[in-house]
Amino acid sequence: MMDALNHWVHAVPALPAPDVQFWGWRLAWAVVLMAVLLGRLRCWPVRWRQWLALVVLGGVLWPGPASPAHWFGLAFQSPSLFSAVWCAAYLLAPPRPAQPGHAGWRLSTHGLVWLGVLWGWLLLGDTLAWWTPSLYAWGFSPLALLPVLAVVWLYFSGHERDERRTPVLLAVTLVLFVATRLPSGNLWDALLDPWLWLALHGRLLRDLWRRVRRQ
Amino acid sequence: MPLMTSFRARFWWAMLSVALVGADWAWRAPPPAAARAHFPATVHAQAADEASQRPPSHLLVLQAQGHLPMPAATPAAHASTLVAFPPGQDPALLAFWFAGSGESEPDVGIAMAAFSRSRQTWSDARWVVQRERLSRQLGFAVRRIGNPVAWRDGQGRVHLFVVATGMGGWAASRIVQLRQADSVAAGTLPTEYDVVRVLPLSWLFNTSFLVRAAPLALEDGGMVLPVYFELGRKVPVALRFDAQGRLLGMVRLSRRTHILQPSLLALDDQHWLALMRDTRPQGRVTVVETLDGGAHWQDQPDLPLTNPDSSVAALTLAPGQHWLAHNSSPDSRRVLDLSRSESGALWLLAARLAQGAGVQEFSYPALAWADDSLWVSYTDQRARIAWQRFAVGGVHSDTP
Repeated sequence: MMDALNHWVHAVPALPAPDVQFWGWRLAWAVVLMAVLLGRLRCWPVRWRQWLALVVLGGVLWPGPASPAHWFGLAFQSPSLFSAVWCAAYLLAPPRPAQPGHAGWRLSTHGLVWLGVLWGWLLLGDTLAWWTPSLYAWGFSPLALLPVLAVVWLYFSGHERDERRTPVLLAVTLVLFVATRLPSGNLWDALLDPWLWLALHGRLLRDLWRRVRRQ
Repeated sequence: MPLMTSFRARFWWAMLSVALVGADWAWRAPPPAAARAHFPATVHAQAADEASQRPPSHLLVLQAQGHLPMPAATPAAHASTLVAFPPGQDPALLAFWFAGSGESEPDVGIAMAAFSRSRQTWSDARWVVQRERLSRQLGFAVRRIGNPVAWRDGQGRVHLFVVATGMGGWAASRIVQLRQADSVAAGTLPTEYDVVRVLPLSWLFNTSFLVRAAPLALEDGGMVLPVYFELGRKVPVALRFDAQGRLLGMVRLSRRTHILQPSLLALDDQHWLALMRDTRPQGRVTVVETLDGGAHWQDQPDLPLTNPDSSVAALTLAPGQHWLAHNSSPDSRRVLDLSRSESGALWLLAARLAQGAGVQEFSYPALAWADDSLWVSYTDQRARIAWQRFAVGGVHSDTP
């Protein structure tokens, strides 16, 4: 019994295989870049956008300094798995015109936005050793999955079908993480990267501003 | 309508959760046993010293000294590390350091020289890690490399841990683990290294972790690698690896945020100290202690040894036989000393390794035990790597 408990609490990190990591990071950058570019060029004809997507995919996967992933990796390593999954979903399902009561392909769940912002601050504080417990190291444990699964469960349970997208994408992220260990073997790296964290701040501030204006 | 209101949906979500956690758990190796230090030598009786004509206990006798051969056209060298090979193998010792046209220049690479047991000389230096090849294998750019640390795993393969900088200076570094290439034939010098991975140590773009001091060898064939975070706040961290070189975990060593470059000493198999560089003005060699093989660490009072914000190297040969190479002048790196201790608390000067004047610098020492000798290497004015070899009374190699 104690051995089993020890196995859970002091679990050995399971890191991605080097080849999986090499190509996984590139693919993640390719998906994120495609989403960003195509999101900006919605007015382009579909055929042009498809060609652009192919060019971006080929360029990012191309080995060596010609690839943007070569330089993004230098500065930022890899986007989180959740960012890549979210961008892939954005690419696969073109955005629909916003309708009253319909959130579109956006992070629509305010609670999750708040949670992401808060968790990012905790991880940043951990990185800078503002407190003693090492949150980042806990991300290597299988126990780290439990609170995340619980959060996804709560959002599945308590939200309408229209707002299911983010929890579904989180669930897909968790499945991919367990299968591939991308991007680093650490669950927190899979769920939240610093750029996504900044984007969540932007989303939060925008929502707060709208609320203030309505009042 | 909420998705999870039906029993069936809840059931399948519960099943998926159990499957995910179970699969995640199944990926992992069993947790390692408690870490126990391995000692490279044993202390023997004074009578045995006299019989074998060794120096008396604790006496240090300089046997040889010199400078490591440098690669051609490299005026700068820094941050050497030593790794010993067991008796019966050639070489006795490998030295690695970074060299190039200047520190933080793009042409800096990791150089290696081997001390031949049969010829008793150092080989020519050769490049073993260069930035472009490292970058190709990693799949992303690397701006600069430096601070190699070497280790022999349970199968005798040499691993190198190298600092690779990202966007920025040294504070934007990551630690890359390399291992001698599979193509290196048994009995030949390990001159080719392949990337194992960049070690995942921080959420913030995995940045600002560096390595400097040698690992502490463990009885199970694994090791504990001391590393540190240095973006603004300086924080020491220990990483544990198994006998194959797989990362087993990380633990922060201290609550203090002005200490870095930990170097580990084993007082007994589970009671260890980490001695560290102090970035404060009028700094001292700082100390943290663990009583449980590195699972938990506590800050301890500073040693009475001054530390001018400079790297130290500690080595335990056997219980009660501890050595520390350190800069001992309060405001410069022009004096480099070798001190010994039986307890890890009280240190006595054993030898002055180098002494200069003005802005001369002798720094970044490394220690190793090979062929019944204590070996020291250090940076000589950021231009060359000096080495010295000492016979130590009262100790002999643990392996026959």
